[in-house]
Amino acid sequence: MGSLSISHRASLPRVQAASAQWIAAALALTAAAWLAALAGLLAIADRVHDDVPVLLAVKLPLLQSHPELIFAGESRTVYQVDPILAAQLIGKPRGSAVNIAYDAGEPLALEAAMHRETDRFRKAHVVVSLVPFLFNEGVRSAAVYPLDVMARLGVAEQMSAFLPLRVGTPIRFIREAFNARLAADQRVADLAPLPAGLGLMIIDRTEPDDRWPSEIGSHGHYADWNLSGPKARLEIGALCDMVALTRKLTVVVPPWAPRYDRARDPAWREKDDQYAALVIDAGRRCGFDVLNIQSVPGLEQGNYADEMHVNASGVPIYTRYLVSRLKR
Amino acid sequence: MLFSSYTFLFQFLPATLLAFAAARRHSPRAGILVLVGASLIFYGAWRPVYLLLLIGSVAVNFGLGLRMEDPLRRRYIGTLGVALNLALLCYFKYTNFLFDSLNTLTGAPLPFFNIVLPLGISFFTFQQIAYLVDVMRGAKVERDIVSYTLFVSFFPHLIAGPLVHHAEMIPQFKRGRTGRSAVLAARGLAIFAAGLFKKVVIADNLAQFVSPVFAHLDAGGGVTTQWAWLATLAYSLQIYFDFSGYSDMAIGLALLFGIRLPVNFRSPYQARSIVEFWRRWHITLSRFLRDYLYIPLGGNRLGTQRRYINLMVTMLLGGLWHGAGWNYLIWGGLHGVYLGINHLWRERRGGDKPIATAGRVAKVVSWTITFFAVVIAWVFFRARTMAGAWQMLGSLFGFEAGSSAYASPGILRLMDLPVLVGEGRLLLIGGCAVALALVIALCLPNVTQLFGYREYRRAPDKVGLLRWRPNAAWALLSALAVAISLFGMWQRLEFLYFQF
Repeated sequence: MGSLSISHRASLPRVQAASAQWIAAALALTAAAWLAALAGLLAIADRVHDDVPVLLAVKLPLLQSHPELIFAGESRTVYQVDPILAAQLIGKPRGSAVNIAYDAGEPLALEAAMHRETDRFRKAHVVVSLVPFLFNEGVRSAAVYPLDVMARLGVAEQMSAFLPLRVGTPIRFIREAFNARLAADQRVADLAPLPAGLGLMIIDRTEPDDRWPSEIGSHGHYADWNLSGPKARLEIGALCDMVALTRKLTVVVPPWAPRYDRARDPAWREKDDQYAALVIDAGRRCGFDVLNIQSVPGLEQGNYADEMHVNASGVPIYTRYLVSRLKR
Repeated sequence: MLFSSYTFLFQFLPATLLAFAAARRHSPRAGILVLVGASLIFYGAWRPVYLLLLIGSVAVNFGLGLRMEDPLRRRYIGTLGVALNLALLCYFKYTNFLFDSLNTLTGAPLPFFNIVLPLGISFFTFQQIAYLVDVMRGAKVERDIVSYTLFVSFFPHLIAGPLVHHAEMIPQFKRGRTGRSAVLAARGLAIFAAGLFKKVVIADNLAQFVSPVFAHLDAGGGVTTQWAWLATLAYSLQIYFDFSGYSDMAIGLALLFGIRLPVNFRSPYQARSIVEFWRRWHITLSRFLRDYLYIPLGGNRLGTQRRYINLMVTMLLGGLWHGAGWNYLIWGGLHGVYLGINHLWRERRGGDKPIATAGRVAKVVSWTITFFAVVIAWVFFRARTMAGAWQMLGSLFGFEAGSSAYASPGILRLMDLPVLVGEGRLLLIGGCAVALALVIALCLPNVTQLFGYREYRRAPDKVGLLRWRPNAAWALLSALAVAISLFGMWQRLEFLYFQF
């Protein structure tokens, strides 16, 4: 770096060369400084991280009604299970069933909530929906990589696993860690207003035809299929731990839209069978029920908003079917 | 596309630099063509349909310029061109303001138009008006459409300035030396890093003490005197670091291509008079208003009374240039009054005595008066409603405060990472942040001093003790500035001057 200094009497070519060197050095130092800062921020994020994310914390006030049936998990519960209808179907008053699922919801977060609200979960039947990307290590995008799994990796592993192409994932982890800590410090889980519809949200639009994936085998959720990473190990471990924290635990594998045919898509069938087997095997070992729902009678293509979520018309059909399976 | 966005820094800029370098090896002209293409892509990335407006504006003005070569038609066509440009600006910027004002005055049920203000229209329109006026005055007509298009649309200055003059830009495109200098590029990179830091780390972090408070006041709420001062001072520094940071980035980016842009800020908060403030703040706009409005109105040549009238008209229109609203008009008017008082004071004292000869106490007093006059005027500039502005003024001086204290959630956002600290601590931290930013604004050298930056065909400014050199220490400092800024860029806060 000493050669970067330019004397006033240096010749023009030498000055030009030193300037070019300076640019290269500045860029290299920027990369090094950025990596060091990222490592520092990840270390801080690991310390401030709270396993209950904001999206789950804002739904926990629903537990104040001491529900008997708690629907949790990911988006296919958020947008598909109507807890008010579910309560009617089991002959209980409003508030006996709630929906605390959130987008890309992971079992580790739910387990953390159970440890915090022990009494309310211990007396309830908890129904958790799952999605393949929660277990498939090949899915590393920032939007859906489980944050609680991320928190259990060391800083070095966080950086080596996601840099350079998946840099958004550790950055999202840092941001969400601070948001989760803020939610915990503000006691959002106790003080937030009750969510509308007891937690159900409706998708009120249907994707145009050209936005639907042509097949599921090549869907992003099954990309670079790998069930042997930390995701599968930690999330299955969380499901097993939940058994002791609930009155009953049922794990649901919801269906894809009826336009997709498993029989004609061997790639999908093979991966999906492995994923279902992983969950069913865990259920057998740990003592929870597994509902692998591949189709719902009466639920048609027109009831779907996209390849995996029903629209408003599909909510009662799916809810009725799910509750009927739970009653059995 | 924001300069402080990942898309710009990691996709657009590297691609443009590589394409420019490759084209430049072929010929300087090819390099210029690449810059024109990149600039149009840069503008079109916002709303492709408005690219047509920019291209149309460039084509029409260039065509009018060519027709002005005929001396007999020069004045007529030039006047028509200026009128067309003003009409375009008025339509996009002032239609709803005019209708709304007429509606308030007359009660007539006039419609509201859903008009989207094209990015940078105030800048590229003014630059072309200056070109037409200069041609009317006898300047050379530009016959090269490529150079003309790049003069108007060069992406570093296209959206929010500096307002460039054709005579300082077009000759640079024709020198054939564009982009050869690693010396300029190194300096450009360092200036860009400084600008990025000013915008992302200083201005964007100050925004948290400003936006919620003004939003609360605009919605009819009240704030305590402490919060009012914190928000107003924070905004005064936010707008400086935001806009001067943008200008620095623009200067740095242009240097990467070997092109020199004019300096826009020279430590304005160091000014000890309003006249001096306007020689240091948004210099290129002041230059435009002086050359194309104040002097044509008669400047100070038509007597003392006319001088004050001309000053007031210039500043009122300068206020309106920033935005269509009574608050901008009042901001401009206030500065018109300030300038008038400043000139009157100077006349009473017997002319322009250099401030350097004044005593220390006089310097402190004049700085304090100037600074707080500017700060108070910013209240009107920042508030979205007149009621909000008056409420803020009331709170600043303790007239309206206390009745309904501002209930802050007490969350500090450091590079947008939230931390719950409580309202008391947040006020304290905000106060320290404002104090630190003020020290930086007052004590650290500006771009021209620090980087020995020389504008096109101008002598370099005096440099201070602290001066950039292409050595290891400055490489590390620039690297840290960029690396820290990259973590702040996830906020995606727009530059304040994008709205103008």
